[in-house]
Amino acid sequence: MTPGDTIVAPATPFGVGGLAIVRLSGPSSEQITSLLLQKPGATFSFPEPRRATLVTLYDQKGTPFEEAMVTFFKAPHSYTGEDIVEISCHGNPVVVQKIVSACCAHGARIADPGEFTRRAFLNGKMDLIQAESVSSFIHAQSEASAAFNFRLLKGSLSKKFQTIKTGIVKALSFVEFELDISEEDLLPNLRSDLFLLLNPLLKEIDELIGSYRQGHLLTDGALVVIVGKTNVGKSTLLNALSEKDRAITSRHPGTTRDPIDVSLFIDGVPIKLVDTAGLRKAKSEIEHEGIKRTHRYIYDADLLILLKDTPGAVGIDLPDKNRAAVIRVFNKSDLLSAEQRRQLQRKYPDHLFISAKTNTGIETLKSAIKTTLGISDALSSTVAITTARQHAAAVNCKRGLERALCLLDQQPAAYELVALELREALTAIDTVLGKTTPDDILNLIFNSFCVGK
Amino acid sequence: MKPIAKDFDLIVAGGGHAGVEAALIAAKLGVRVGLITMDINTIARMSCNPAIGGLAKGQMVRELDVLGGTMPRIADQTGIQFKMLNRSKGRSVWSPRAQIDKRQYETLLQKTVADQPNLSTIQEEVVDIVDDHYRIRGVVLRDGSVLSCRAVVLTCGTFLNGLIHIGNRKVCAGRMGEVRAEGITEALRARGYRTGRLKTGTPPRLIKQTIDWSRTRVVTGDETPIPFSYRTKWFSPPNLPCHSVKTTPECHEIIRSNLRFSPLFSGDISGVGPRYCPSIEDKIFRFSHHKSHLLFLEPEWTNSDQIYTNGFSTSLPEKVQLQALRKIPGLERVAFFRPGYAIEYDFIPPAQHRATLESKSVAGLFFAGQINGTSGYEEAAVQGLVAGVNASKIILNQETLTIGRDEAYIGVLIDDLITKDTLEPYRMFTSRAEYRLLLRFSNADARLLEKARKHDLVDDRLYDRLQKKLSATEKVIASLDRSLSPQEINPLLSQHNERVIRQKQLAKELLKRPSVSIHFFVDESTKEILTNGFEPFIADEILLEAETQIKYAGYIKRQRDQVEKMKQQETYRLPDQIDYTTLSGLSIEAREKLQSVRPETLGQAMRISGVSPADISVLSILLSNR
Repeated sequence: MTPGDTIVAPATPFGVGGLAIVRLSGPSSEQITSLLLQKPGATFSFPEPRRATLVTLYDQKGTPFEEAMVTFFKAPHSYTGEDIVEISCHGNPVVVQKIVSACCAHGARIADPGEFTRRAFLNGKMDLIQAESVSSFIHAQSEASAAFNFRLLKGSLSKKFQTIKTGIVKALSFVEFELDISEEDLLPNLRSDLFLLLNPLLKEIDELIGSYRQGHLLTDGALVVIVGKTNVGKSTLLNALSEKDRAITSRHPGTTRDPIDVSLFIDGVPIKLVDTAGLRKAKSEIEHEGIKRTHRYIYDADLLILLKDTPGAVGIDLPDKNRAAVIRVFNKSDLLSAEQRRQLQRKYPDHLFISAKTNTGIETLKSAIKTTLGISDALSSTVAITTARQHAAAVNCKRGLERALCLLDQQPAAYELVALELREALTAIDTVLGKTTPDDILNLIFNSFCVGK
Repeated sequence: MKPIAKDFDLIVAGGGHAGVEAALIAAKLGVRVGLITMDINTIARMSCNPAIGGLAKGQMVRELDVLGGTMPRIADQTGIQFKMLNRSKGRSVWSPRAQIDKRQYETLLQKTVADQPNLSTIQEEVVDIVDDHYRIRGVVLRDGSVLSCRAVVLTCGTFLNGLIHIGNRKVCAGRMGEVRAEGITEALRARGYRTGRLKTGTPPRLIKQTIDWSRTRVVTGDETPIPFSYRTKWFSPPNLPCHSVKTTPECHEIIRSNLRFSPLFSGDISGVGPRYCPSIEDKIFRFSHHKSHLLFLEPEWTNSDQIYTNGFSTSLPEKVQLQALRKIPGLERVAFFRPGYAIEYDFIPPAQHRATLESKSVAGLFFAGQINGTSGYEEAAVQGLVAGVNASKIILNQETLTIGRDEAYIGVLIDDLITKDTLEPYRMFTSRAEYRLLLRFSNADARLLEKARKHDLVDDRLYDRLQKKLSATEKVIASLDRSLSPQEINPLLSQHNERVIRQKQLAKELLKRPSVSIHFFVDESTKEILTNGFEPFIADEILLEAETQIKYAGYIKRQRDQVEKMKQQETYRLPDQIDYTTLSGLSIEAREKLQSVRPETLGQAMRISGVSPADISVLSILLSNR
């Protein structure tokens, strides 16, 4: 435990229930929670200590996603003796997950098993009077976590993690052999062996991390943004995709000034579809503001539909940081002659040709959205990371592996630093699978190498 | 029983590497010490290989030096070949090692012991301890006499019920030709101690004149040797060569077809041997795909006729050993001084001790060295020092010495011993240290000097010298804050195929490039810092340390952060009297492990295998309710 560290975790067992509680403990609990409670731009005051207060929770984009009761316990008058915030929300794993992730995004760390209690203990919060109740409470908590771990550990997900772990331990045993045993250069190909071993692991861990995004799609949905010059038919497309007359359409360029959104489902995946102001040199202050908002949406999007009606550029520069997938679409195909269309298709083989007005090609576009987002029928049955803890583990593991590979690229390679990074990668995995000790690595060394000169 | 008039504060039983360090440091701290050994002529004998230091061990020898140990100084005086191992690898794993003139080593150490005030040597054998309500009062000698004292350090090594195996021949001995020690195991068992049995081995000693040296490969040490001890001043050891040979398929075949005669395979040996130092028969059995193994032929002393066969530890029958060796080019006509053998001995699982190496159940009783299940001179010596210091501190009623895992390999060693099950003789490896980057041979002084000072283990002169060294290191680091212009540095950079700079850059930043050395930036001002009366090896070490601290700055900080995280648990003490078997919230495995290990702090408890984080939280809650 680090002083100054704020931890978060569900305090109630995993699963669907009437109520669930997410608990934060640490000096930043108040600050982190207030970021969840604050509608951007609105004035706001944090709930008084020890008073359950009904609040709305907002995600990072400022969208409300849950109503909850928040209770603030000011240090030292709390379970752990630190500032604590308890958020009771609907007992839906998706909501719980989302709250925990949001807290992490604002700087909290997922608590280790038993860490709340450990903090309480270290801060001298436990006394004789509480003894019995606390003891039974702990018991309940560890049973829940045991059930939770059991679920994590069985099946293909744990096998995936295990494969990665085995690979890292093997790589470490090579490195440690080199550092600890080998006085001669007994592993002449150490560097290339490690590349061969670690690169596939990186790929696997990437897949795991990717699977979390897919898993999230199912629960959190995706933001799909239509962008293009004015008057290419963006609003018509929004209406066509959503099968609603949501956006006002007209022949006049610049009709849409304020981004308009609509919710729909594609194969059960919730999608927020946004129609943005057309991109051109703004003719008024209002339009200027609209275009500014468009850029914000482009930045946040999971998927961009770049719409145009004539050959040439769409007229936007995608920001570098934008990692959204892109689908390029030619609208108004109904206005093209068959010959024109053939020529354009040859020239732009990666473009879809639709007519929003006549509803032509809309189904093709929908299935393109599906595949681009990675929504597939197999989604629910593939191995996927399901919890923020696993996701954090996978991400930290990946970072360690990447840094190790980066160090291996240097001349001369500092193997002790490679070892340090691999150990961090391993420690990350260990948060899911349980601890690896130096003995585990030494055992592998003794079993795989002939040591002793 | 006849009382002996002379009385002591501290009795050290055993005159090996642990025993002499314990006795010498205690005597220096002003305690009256009796060192009891079965043969005063074998004090500080190097039973096995003629070398000190090595991977991870070399770092410990440096640490021992800062804490007032004797081994490093004597090793410097008797070394015949010095080598910095791992020099081509990362700088935190650089490890000094030296071939030692064994005879000279024990001679000089025996002289040191003889010259030490407050220290008497007695040729006798301790067979029992005297205690009163679990507090030590004295020891019982073989002749039945009792020596009273206030603390005891047991360092019986391989002598405790030692049993030597050569093929199916068995000899009760502590070392070949030396009587074993008996009685202590039974005395401890009677007081509730758990005991166990381990095995180790030693290779044959060859007669120099029977080796065809022209068919061996020569191995020499470093041109510029680095001593172990900061106390060493005039350092110009000889650089005597060792030689290497390679085993052959014919040699392997002989061993393979005689495996059944090895007590390791016949089942005669019940003790567990070290996997990192396997016997040749074990290597050939387990790694049958290896066509050849490297053996080193090392002189046991200057002009020695006796040659140590490093890598050929064995307990095969003498005849088989000889046949197999004679299939090696260069050894066709080889003859023995004595064959290799395996030895089994008793040990006391060290999870029964505290971090001070004092027993948890008998106050004033300390354990150090192989009796704690370790292997190696260095591992023994550092434990001897810690036990000797702490036995003295208890007698003097002063604060005891404990060393953290983040402070020294010595800390890692003792913490591992008292929290882990010893299944085989424990040897130090750098990978055992989670804060490896912080534990460099070149910063042992920075890590331990203040601690040594606090416990009176370092004299003022050395303290001042090392202080000066540390502040010079700081100065060199600060001097690298200067910015360099392209004109100044580019010629040097391009000379070393390094990317040139276009704008001024800090020397510090350039030094972070993997192939840029601190020597690029040594100028007159640096030289001035270094010519402050430092030995050349100290001046080199200042540069090495400054370079390391800059190059590794980010990593060092990361490790420091990890240390901070650990500290809080480390300082939480668990009560001594607690029956873990009654703590129903704990897993059964955790209950058993905690009950047998009885950790002193929450941190120790966390490192015990089989104790999960959930157990730790339950434990902390339950305890707070007491």
